[in-house]
Amino acid sequence: MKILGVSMVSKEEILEGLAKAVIDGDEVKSEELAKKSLEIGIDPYESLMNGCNKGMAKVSDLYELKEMFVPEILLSADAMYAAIDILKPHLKVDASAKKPAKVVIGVAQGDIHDIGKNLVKMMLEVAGFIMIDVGKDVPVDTFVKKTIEEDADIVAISALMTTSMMYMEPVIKKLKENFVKAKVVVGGAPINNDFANKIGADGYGKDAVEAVKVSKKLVGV
Amino acid sequence: MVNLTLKERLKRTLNGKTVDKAPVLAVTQTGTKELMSLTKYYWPDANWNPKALAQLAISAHKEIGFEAVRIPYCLTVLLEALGCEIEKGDTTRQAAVKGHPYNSRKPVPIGKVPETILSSGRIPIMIEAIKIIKDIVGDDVPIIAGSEGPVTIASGLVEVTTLMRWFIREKEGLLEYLQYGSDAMISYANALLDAGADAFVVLDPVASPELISPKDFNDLVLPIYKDISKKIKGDGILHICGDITAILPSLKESGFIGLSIEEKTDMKEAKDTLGEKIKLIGNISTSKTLLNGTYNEVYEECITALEKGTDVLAPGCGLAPMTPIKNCIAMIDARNDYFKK
Repeated sequence: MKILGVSMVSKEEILEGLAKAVIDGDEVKSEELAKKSLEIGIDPYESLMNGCNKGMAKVSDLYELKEMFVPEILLSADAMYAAIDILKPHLKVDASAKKPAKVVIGVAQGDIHDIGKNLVKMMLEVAGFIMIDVGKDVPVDTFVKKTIEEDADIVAISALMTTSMMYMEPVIKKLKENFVKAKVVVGGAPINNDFANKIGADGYGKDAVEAVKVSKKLVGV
Repeated sequence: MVNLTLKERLKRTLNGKTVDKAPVLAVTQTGTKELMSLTKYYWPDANWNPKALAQLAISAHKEIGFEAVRIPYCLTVLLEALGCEIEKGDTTRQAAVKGHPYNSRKPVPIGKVPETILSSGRIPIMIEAIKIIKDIVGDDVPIIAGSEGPVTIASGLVEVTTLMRWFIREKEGLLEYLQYGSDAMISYANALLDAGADAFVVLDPVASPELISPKDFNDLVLPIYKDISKKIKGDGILHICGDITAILPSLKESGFIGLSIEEKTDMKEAKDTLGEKIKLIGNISTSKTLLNGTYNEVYEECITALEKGTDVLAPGCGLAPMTPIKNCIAMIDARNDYFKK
């Protein structure tokens, strides 16, 4: 069966294959399928949404169910980004589309542990946010400056160490002093809901999946 | 049961003999800013000076009342000796690993642990510090030494996300690195035990189910732990951060005699799974209560931990440097009151 010149069977096969390659963390396969999708004329946006992102959504479910762990997720991310690198140059920019929300994300001052931050970044990216990654061991002022510069909607700060969680509150205070409206989401091993409330954060995610839910809620998507 | 020394009480507790009360101490880092002010020995320099290391460690026993002296204050001593670049940190920031000499997508053969390991980096300083502590506190106070464990060592050598990928893509190389870390750690542990340490804590946060799957833990890490616990010439304790409920059944077979857990792992659940096979140490929250809570909140949490069956009352992880001494003293008071007949 052919509609608009694209073979339906192979299109479905490719999208499903892309999702599976992402779930399996098979970057060779995902790259191959992304190329194939362009060859047979599948809209790259569709490959992205119904292939890569669909796979990553499943990965996020499996992570929440504790059936996938960090090694598996990292390989899934590798596979996803391998496909995105191929698809991205061919994506058409839709000028009429609603501007996606922007997140400045980084690890608090004094902390170099960024696995958690990177997982959150990736899952937010998949959820449609534009991510501005300011890295690890990020000084308070850098968070504030970047948020203003980028006119970000959300600032996401993570910390693994009890020494670094203390640098979250100053970011929130300085944002307020500068009348920045961006919402602040915090997370990381020593953080809990009480602490997030105490320092005046707008949201807390106990893991990457929750961070996405909270962020979506904060920007109303 | 009268007149047990602190050392006898800890030893008896870990080895399953009856005691009058649970020891209260830390098997994780104890350096705080208040203790630094009191002793005038400050991070980061205290990490590189045997006398400072000793005096700051002893202050947690003298000023707080912890029933052991515990060193060091970071998870970088062995990694530094193995060639990692270290970021020294500052008064409120622990020393941390900065450079990863073996970071590579494909594992580079790492060979054998250099024979000079025990004279490398800060290892001689640690050995010296233990001797100083022993001279000062005498034979009745236990000395607890700790180091990064094999998975954490491997993550320092190759970088943690690289190592995570090796868990799936490069199992053979991974095992070579875990064995290397384990070999280095065993010689280090035994050198510190020979110098006078009474117990050795293997701290392995990167082995947590917060990162790797319980299956990988069981298949790839547990055999290494069994080997370590067999070869350490003293009381071996394991500490893993996060919620480790999922790997408790594996840990039961690890051969360690003590397990230190955070508050994210429920003490009662741990007790129910482990029985009397491994003694439990913990699990007062270093973030929620000890650092950010009040004396009363710490006190209440301690009573609950004792009721749930902790064998040694201890902070669940390393003390945050800004932790008030007062909150730590709540641990001592709670233990004393709990065991008052």
